[in-house]
Amino acid sequence: MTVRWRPALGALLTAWVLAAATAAPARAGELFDKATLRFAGAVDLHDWQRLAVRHAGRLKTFDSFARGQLRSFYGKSTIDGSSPTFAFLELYLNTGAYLQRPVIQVRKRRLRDALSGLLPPAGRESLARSGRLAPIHLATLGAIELLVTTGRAEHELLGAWRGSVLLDDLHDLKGGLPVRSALAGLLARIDAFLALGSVRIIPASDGRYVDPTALSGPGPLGLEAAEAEELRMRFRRLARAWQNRDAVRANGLLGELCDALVRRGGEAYPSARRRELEIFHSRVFGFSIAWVGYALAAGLLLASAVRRGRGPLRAAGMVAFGLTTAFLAAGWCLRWYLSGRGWRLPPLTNQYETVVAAALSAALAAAALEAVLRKGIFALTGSVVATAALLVAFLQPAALGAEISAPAAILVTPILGWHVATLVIAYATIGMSLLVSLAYVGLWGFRARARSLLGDLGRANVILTQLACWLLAIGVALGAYWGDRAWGRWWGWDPKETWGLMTLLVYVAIVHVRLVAPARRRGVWTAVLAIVGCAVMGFTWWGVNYLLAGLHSYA
Amino acid sequence: MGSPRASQPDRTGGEAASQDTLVGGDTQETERSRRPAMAARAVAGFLSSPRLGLVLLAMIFTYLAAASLAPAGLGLSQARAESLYATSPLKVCLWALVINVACASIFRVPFRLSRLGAHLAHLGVIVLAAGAGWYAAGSLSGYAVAHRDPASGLFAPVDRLYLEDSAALYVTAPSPGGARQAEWPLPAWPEGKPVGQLDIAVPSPVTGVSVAVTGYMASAHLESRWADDGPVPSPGVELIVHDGPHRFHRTLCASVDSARRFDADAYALVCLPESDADRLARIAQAPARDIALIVPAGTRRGRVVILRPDGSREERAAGSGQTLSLTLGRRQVKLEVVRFLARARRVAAARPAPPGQAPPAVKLDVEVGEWRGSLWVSRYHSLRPIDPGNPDLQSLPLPGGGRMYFQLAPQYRMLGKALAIAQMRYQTYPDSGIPRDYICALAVLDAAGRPAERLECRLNQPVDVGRFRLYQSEWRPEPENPTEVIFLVRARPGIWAVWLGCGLICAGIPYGFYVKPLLLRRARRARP
Repeated sequence: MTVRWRPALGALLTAWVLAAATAAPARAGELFDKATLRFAGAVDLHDWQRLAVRHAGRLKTFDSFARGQLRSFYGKSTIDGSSPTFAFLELYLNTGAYLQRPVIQVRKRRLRDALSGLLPPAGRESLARSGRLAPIHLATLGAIELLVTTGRAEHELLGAWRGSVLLDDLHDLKGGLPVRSALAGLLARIDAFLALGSVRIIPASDGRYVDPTALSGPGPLGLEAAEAEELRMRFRRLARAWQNRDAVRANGLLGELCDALVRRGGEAYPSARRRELEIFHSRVFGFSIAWVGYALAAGLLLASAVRRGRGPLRAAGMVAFGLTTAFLAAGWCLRWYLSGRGWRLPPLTNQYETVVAAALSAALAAAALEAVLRKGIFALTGSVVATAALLVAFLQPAALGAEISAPAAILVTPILGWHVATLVIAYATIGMSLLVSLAYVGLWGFRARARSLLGDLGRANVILTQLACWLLAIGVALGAYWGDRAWGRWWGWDPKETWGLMTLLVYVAIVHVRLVAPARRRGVWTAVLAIVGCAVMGFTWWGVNYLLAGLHSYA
Repeated sequence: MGSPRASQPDRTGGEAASQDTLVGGDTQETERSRRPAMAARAVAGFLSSPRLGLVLLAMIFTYLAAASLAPAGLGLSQARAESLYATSPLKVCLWALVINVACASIFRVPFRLSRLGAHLAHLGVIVLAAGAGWYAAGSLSGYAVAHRDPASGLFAPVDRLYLEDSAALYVTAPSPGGARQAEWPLPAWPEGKPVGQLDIAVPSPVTGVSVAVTGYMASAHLESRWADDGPVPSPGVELIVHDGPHRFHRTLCASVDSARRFDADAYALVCLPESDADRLARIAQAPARDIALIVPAGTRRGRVVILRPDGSREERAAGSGQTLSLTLGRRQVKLEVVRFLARARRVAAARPAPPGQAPPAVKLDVEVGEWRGSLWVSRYHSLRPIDPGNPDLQSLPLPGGGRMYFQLAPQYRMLGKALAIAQMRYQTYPDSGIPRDYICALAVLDAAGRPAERLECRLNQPVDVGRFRLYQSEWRPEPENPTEVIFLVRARPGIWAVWLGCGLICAGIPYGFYVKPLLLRRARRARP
């Protein structure tokens, strides 16, 4: 009986997998219907996603560009499982179909509630269901009034349409233009944005890139009239084939346009290798996916610590930890290379990059300390800190700024690397110290039985807090030096500076409290203060940015 | 703050001292002679105590937490919240901490090679604090502004810095040897009082003219108005022009170039005494169109003379309150004469603005001979070049000819060297408006005005000129085509001590943490 069931079960499973594989793309999604998803499966965008696009001051692949753009208004880098390039092109070439579909994310519930009351029933229902607004609803009177009168609403919706011409309109509105009279123009501009948004994909002269809409203008830089007309016709034919869901024709035109654009770029066009690497970088979520490896390593090392052994569990944990660290380090270096900022300006220019760097710092610091002291504690705490940091980066890429972008002018200095790197390593060690301290405080009640473990934890904590103290001192001093060069003052009582000093002073206190506390309680005092220090560090890093205004808004 | 080992000798020393006192307490005299020493030791012990250091750290922490989190609860503005950090209680605590560190270094950490780290770090804190004090006491901060000459398109050399948070009234008046300028420093306005009275007599550079500063507004919008009370005769006319569906309100004044004339499509309205033949001739050469020349005769009457391109002329009498129907450039235009002005003067009226949204302004009471009047002058970040051909609101005509100009600007100090902007570049990232750098190629000029040294000032790359350091600050009104380039200027005495202190701290900490244990281990091994 059992023998009969096995092939039957196998056949059933195979059929289910095949059915799922073939049926999945055809199932209607949140935004795209069945026909669109079927078309997504038929259209070949392999070359197109490798095209170069000029955006926010740098050349990136179409894939990266599309991911960033989708994230900025849709909230996700993909739509209904289609590729980012397909989803963006679908909205770009088939705009009319989406004017009444929910594509603009409204993240905050309070804002959604506020907007709901101002929308027609259809818009209200779609907002409640998907958390997104249709462009047509954005232009309804109430929504726009809310945009103008509420700073919160403005922030949300401006964020959704970052980089668009719509922004200018909203700034004008804020400046006091009559809201109602601007509505008609605003509707037209939303339409124009969706249909002809700025996609600088055509290489022109002087290293410039122009948008396909510029082809119908007076003549883009460096393009012969005939060539411009030829490209324009191809783009029009592509749009028509796309809207008609004619995959064969669309594929032919996509291929022709890809060849033409790469040929136009000539030698100055980014190399195929570079574009390929960028695609890879995007596909592994900017390497934040490494959290899985660290979580695995942390699990194995924790299990090994519970068993108090140096057996295979620990070896496996260390291997996972080492491999993941190598992967993350490679990813970080790749991001540095792709940013094209040169070796003097490492990727430490926004919160996403510093969070990823904190994860890498924790891992590298742990690896260095493990190499010398071989306690297992550092690898474990480093893995946990790296997991937590990378999870934040993985789950909040849009909020942190996952896109590789041009840094603010004030950040273009080699001091940035030294200042931020030092502080990021310090913060990573503080995070590790927090875990050790929590374990120490947790075990303090059982100190009679866990004396040896407490001793190990106490020594590890001293090492971590001392390292944090030194690095914080260097980081604050480098910040003062940078402030003197950039802003003309070495100290300005800016909230970030003041709280940075506060963090340093807490760690100075930790070092000195060991001098006055009774020998038996030094460890617990250190642990308690390290927990406080981590809270202060957290406020310095995040709290100051969100609660207090200052000159370090990008930090 | 010192180490327990370091504090140990002190503690034992303290105990020994008390035993000495007991033993030697037989004689009252000895006890009395030792009392000051004991008190000094107790004070030193207290000041150098690590516990005091920890208490101070806790106080600083509490203050900062309160200063950061309370403003939101109390509804204070962000600016106020930030200024809480730089207030006295925090600074007092930080200085007390420095004293604690200094005392601990002296009384609790006797010098040994193994303690070099603690000594270096503590010395670093003291040097850093001394440097910070020196810097705060002696630093000079302000702005240097390069103005672009609209005619030549070149920037005027920069030779002075305007001090931050200072104000002075500058009075420029004609004199036989050229214009003379007097600077009169003004006090800071009382904080929290947006409008107030002042009573400051300003010595005038011209005899027969007296100037007094009588009021201020901490934030003021100035609005232009016309008054008929000028110190010198200056004919003008206030009109309402009805041109088809359009209606314009205009005041024309013969003596103010910028207000003399109103241009429409097919005609121009000009206010001039007919005796001003030169100007009239210039206007007559203008593109072929009708010119309505308005000739004020007094405060209530005047004439309108229409000059046609073919040389013909038509003349009409006009009076205050009268409306004239004229055919100008094939259009029927009605001129409603509101009033004629005999001593037209454009005055600035001040209106209070929300704090920080407009510059401050002062009210001046001026007496020119028999005439007495007032004007408001608003603050600008620097002295502007005076354009006699286009006098602004902040000037007065003088009976003897010429004008007296008033400017409210920060006080200035000379840089010691003049700087010329040789070239400037605003760099952006390709195909975007995202700024990348602001670059100024500067030439330091010698006494003869020739370039003696070339420098390049960028963001993150300031330049040193004498004892001052110049930083890129602002390009106005837009970075692509600025008419003003503003450099932040700082004199930074004691900054080297700050860096030395930082260096000592950063070197002392690793010595204490990583070298000291090695030395102690080696010493322990070397012990028999």
